[in-house]
Amino acid sequence: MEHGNGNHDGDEADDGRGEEDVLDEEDELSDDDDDMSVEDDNDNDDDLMLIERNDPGLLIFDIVSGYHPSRGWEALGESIGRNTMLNEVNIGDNEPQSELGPRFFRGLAKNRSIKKMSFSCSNRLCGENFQYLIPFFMNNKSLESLEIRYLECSVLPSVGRFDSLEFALEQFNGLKELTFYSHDVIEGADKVIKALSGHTGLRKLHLESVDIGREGFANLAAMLLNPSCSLSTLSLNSNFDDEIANILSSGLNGNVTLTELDLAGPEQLCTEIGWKAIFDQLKSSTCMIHTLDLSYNYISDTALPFLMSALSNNIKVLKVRMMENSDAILQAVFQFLQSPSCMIQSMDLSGNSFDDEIMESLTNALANNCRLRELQIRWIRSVTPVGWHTLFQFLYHPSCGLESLNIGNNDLTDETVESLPLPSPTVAV
Amino acid sequence: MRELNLSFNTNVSSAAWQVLIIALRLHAPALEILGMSTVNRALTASLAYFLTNNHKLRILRIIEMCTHRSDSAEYVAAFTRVVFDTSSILNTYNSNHIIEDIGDEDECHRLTTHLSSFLRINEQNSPSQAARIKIIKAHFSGGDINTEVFNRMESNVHPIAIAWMGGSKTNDLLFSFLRSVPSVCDTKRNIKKRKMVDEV
Repeated sequence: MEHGNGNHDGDEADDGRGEEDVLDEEDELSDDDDDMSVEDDNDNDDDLMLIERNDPGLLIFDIVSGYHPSRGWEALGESIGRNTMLNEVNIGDNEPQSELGPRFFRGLAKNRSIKKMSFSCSNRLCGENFQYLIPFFMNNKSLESLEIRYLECSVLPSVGRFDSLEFALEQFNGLKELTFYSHDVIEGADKVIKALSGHTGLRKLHLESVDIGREGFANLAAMLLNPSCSLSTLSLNSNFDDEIANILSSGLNGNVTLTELDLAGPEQLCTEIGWKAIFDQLKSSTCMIHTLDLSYNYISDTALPFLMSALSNNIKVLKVRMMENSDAILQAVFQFLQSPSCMIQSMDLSGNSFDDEIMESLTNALANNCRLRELQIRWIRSVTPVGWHTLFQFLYHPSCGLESLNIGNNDLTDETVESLPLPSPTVAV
Repeated sequence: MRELNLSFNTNVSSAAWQVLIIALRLHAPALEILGMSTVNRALTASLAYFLTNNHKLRILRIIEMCTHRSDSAEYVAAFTRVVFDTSSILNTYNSNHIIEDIGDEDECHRLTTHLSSFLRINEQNSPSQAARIKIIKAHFSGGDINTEVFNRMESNVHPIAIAWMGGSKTNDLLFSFLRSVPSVCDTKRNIKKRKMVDEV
């Protein structure tokens, strides 16, 4: 069961179990399969039994929306607290009337094996319950990853909604990965970033739709400049303007740990000035960033030279999906692909405005590039079979080094698909 | 080419996918990941044949295959035969021990649980280990081991077969086997049997 209410996931191939154990497990799975009408609640009860008997086969436990544990939330929390096998617990969004609350979290807080925990918060979970997890955060040395998604919430006031999370984050310092999403624009997200300053081992930070504001970016810049900073992946899918871009670039200046930067955002207000500030840091010799996502952005023609200059500094993975001025971006990228300084190995051009002519330009660029290994071009609908054929012909060119091609979601026709596998001249069909 | 993803190209007909599968079998022997769209009965048979003779493909992504429950059952049966053919020890041995993931993870999840368990054997073991586990499961599991296959073996093959059975950490299988067929280890009886064969 990869997803659902429990996960019987034997990650370790050589886990000391005999073949008969493996076979017994298969038989159990086969038996499960015989009854297609098993209800989800029964699955939950099965998982509850596995949790209670500390079964090593249950590594991931999902508390899905609408779940009602048969023996109550308190008993479930206590069982999870005693369990030493669970690696991951995911708590979905539960109804307001759900009794998922302090009693459950107090029990869960005794657990010391969970490495990853995720919450989808609305209603009471948003504001109150992180305080009950502080012993868990402080004492569970296994915990590495936290994922917190604040969903639409009409019950609690927006002011102070992150206070409980902020306070909890200040009480420990061992986090390695945080994903923080908020549906609404809520004040106080900047303080959450500040509360992370003690987590010097943090390697991945994903901020999705969270408006952390100028204060938040200043806190982030300070984090990046801290000599103890370990951050390698930073996703900032939130709005920023030139001023914020300048603050961010001051953090990037001198940081030597960051390797992946995701600035994909639907409504960036950056002009040439802001992009220049960021791209100038990317081309610095001390910058270690090799993966760059600029999807959904508008990067003006005048800012493109700065981008190309930044790309020449060891960028290996480039994502430029759904760009607003895609014609200019694509032509600039195609030109760069033919440059000797191009190190790009993986590129995602999905959702841009392609036609047969642009496909031909891409093919020409690929013919003069020997580094690209992975190419994604999805969600493009204006290319005719002739345009696709141009690309496919290149796939069989001796200089083609592509190992992975993703052209899903493109409304391809029969004619296009049938032209894909060009017969090799040496092989008779 | 190691990965080719054509998922969600829903306008492509079954006939065109079939042309592609045949061509990929001939011209893309290194393919490890393949993504396709709609699958019907005819296409299921083609894909099953493609997988039967393929020792590279690890992931097969198929979208929208569960429109009809009967088609889904047929799809599961066809791919299960590819991954775990129980008709004979040789066929189990010659099953596909490479493919790790087939299908749409969402709507078909429950229907493919049985198949998933066999795919997981491939994923978590080397091909030779996976073959071993499947052979034991199909032909030597349960209380009484069917020893008929050993009776048909040449006696000089017995040591190899017994060594194979003793290849696990626990030796449970070897113990069960020896308990079921003490005659295999009866040296005097084997010498007598060999003499009889020589005389004939």
